[in-house]
Formats: sequence, C-alpha cells, structure tokens
Amino acid sequence: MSSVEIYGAAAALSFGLAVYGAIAARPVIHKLVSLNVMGASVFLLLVAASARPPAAPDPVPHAMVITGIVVTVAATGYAVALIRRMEWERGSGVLPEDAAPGGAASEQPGGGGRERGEGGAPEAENAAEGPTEEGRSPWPGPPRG
Amino acid sequence: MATEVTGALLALDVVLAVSLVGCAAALVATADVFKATVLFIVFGVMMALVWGRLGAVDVALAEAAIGAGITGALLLGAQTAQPARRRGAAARGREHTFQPATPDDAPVYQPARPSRRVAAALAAAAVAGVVLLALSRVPTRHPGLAPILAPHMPDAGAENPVTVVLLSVRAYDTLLEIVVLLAAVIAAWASAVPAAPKPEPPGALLAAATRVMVPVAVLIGGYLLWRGAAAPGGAFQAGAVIAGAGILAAFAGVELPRRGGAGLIRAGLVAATLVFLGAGAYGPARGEPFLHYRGGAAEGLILVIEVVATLSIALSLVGVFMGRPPPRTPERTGGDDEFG
Repeated sequence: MSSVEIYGAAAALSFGLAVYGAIAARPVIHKLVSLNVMGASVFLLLVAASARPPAAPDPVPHAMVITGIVVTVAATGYAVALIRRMEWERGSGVLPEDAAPGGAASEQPGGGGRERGEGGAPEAENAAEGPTEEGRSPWPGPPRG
Repeated sequence: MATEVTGALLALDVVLAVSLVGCAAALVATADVFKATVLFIVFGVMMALVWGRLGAVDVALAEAAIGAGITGALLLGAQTAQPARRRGAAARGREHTFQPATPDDAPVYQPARPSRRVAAALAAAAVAGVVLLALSRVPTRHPGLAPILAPHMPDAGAENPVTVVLLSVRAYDTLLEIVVLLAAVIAAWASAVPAAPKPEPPGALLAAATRVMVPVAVLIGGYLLWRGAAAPGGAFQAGAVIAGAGILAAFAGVELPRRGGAGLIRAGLVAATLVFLGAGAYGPARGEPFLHYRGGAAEGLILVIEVVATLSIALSLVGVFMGRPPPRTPERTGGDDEFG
C-alpha cells in the first residue's frame, strides 16, 4: 500500500460522507459545509491519482486544484450571501422541502405556516424599517455626524 | 534506515488519512452547525498537511489560506448573531436578543426524516464505491502532463512550474478564475440583506492584535507573491493572506480614507481583470494568439499580473466576506442608496 492509495481511498470515503451530509443535513449552511468537503475530496482525488512517486509531482493538476480552490471560495461566498438573504426573507435557514421532519407540530409549536404568514408583506415591512441605524454598512467608513 | 523512514511516513499517511475521514464523518454526523464549521476548518488544516505530503506545496499554501482560512471565516460569519437580525424575529419583538427564530436556528437542529437519511446513505455508499472502483483502475504507469509542460518552461518567464501553468500555459483558466471572483463579489453584494448588522466596537485585545498582525500578514503576503515566481507561492496564496489581514482590520474598525475609499476599492476589484486582459493583448499585438507571451517580456508581464491580481484577490475575498458594498461617501453611509 502506498501513500497515493491511502489518500485516494480517504478522498473517496470523505466524498461519500459529504454526499450524505449534503442530502441529509437540514440547515442550508450545513449542506454548504458538506459541499465544501465534497470539493476538497475531489481535489485530493485529482492530485492523488496523478501522483507517481518517486517521480516529481505533476504541476498541471496542482495548478488546476489551486484554480478550483479559488472558484470554490467564490461560490461559497456567494452561497453565504444567498443563505443570509434567505434567512432574512423567510426567517429560517432551512429549505421548505427540508422543514419539520415527522410533522410540523412536533417541531414548531406555532405551526408550520408561521414564517410564511409574516413574510406575506415584505415590501410594507421593508418600508417600515426604513433607513435606520441598522442600515449601516459593516465596511470601515469615516465617522459620521 | 530507508525502510524505517518509509514506514514512519506511511504511518503518518495513515494517521492523516484517518483524521481526514474522521473529520468528514464528524462534521456530517453532528447536528450542531457551529461544530460542523469548526470541524471543517480542522479538515482544511489536515488537508494542507496532506498536500504537503503529496509534494503539492503550492496547493498546501492555498488550502491553508483559502480553503481553511477564508472559507472558515465565511462560514462562521454566516452564523454570527444571525437570529437577532432576522426580519421575522424583529417582527416578534425579539430584536437584539439571541433567541432562535425557529427550532432549526437553535445550535442543535433536528435530523432529517429516517427515509431521507437512508436514501442519502445509499447514495453516499454508491458514490464512494464507484470512486474507489475507478481509483483502482487508474493506470499506475503514465508520464502525466509534466512532459507536455517541459518544452514551455525555458522561456515562460517563471521557474515555478505551477506558476508557469497558472500564468502562462493555462492563463485563460486563471483569467476566467479572476472574473469568477469578481462575479461572486458583484452577486453577493447584489443579494445582500438590506438591513446591515451594526458593527461591534472592537475590544482592546483585537485592536492591539490587529496592529501586530496586519503588518506581519502583509509582509508574508508580499513574500509569498515575490517567491511565487521561483518557489511555491503566488498571487492567490498572497491575496488570501492579505485578505485575512483586511478582514481583521475591518473588525478592528480601521477606517477607509474619508474621500474616495469606496471608489478605490471598486477600482481595485476590477484592476486584475483589466490588467490581465491588457497583458493578453500583448500576443495579438505581435501577431500571436491572445494571452500568448513568451521570452523577454514574459517575466515582466507575469510580475505585473501577479501584483495586481494579489490586490484584486485580496479585495474580492474581503468584499465577499463583508457581503455588501462599502459606503460611498460620508453623507450617504446608509445602505439605502446601494439597494435603491
């Protein structure tokens, strides 16, 4: 058994585990963590499958993996923005099709329709909040006032 | 002696592989999202060690800085003080409390239905089995792609083969990768939540740590950038390290210049795309293909692209982490002008 085979097997196993996590996890953010593990496993598989020790490592898969890591962080950043937006719009970080296993009553005393009811008039609520102190950007900015 | 070393390294391989799979299993199995995120960061650091063992030092640096560092910060940032900011929570008069809006926002959520978990387990086992089978069929004796790369190395303008692949041989990939980062920033800013969280005042420890850490991180970033031409390192690793410094500085309340700070950030975000496209035009200007630069000018062009790319990558990663555009002017710091 060589290190290439060991890491190849580890990549296959963690990919499988992450597939489970991406399907079975209910909060979208947990699915996103699993998707990142899937990506990292693919990268490991690519480099492990192309490694032929004692020959020098093949730089082309390495460059592809670096490209992949950067694209993954870009996609993860956008996914985080979408999740934040979804939580703000729906009041929940769980997709509707994943909501309330084994009946809504067991998990949400107020009933499953609670979030939907409040999200019914987003425009009106939005206007009511207005440009409050909450509207300030988290970027560092010059002092106001 | 040689077999002893080989045996010890093999033991290290087994320990690292088992740790990786164990981290993956634990982060998938837990019903605590925060715990899963922390385990993911551990998974990323383990992965960086594995890259080192496989001789992929460039990838190890990228994984540690981006895969574990920036991604971990993004995932943790998605969970901080979220419940209090929700519109639903605000409407129920629970503003500025940390009570979860729904049971699923509690630190520990309920697992999915058993039927779904069984289906997911079957799918996962099938996928892992197919991958293992495919892996056993990979030919063990083939030259790889290094011989194809070798003729391009002498006049490519860099000595690190990974840098040559990224910025010369497969420069198209890297150009589009930088465009993807830019697109992610634009998309994340466009879908930002209208009500921004109020920045927390920095503690004394954070302010003091920032004064020490930011110059060190910028120095390390500059070193990685400069060394990338001949040794492992380069624009992406350097950009990620500097982005870490930027995120830290933003948390510590470091201020942008009073005038033009936001404009400079926007200009910096697009700079790499424009400079890369400009460098790509060097080839057509000499009757050669787009993004084709070899020989004398290659070294200078690659250096310019890498320096500007480091700046844009760092700004993009900070921008995605912030999740919204910087305020334009002191008079209009509210989020309303950004979102119409």
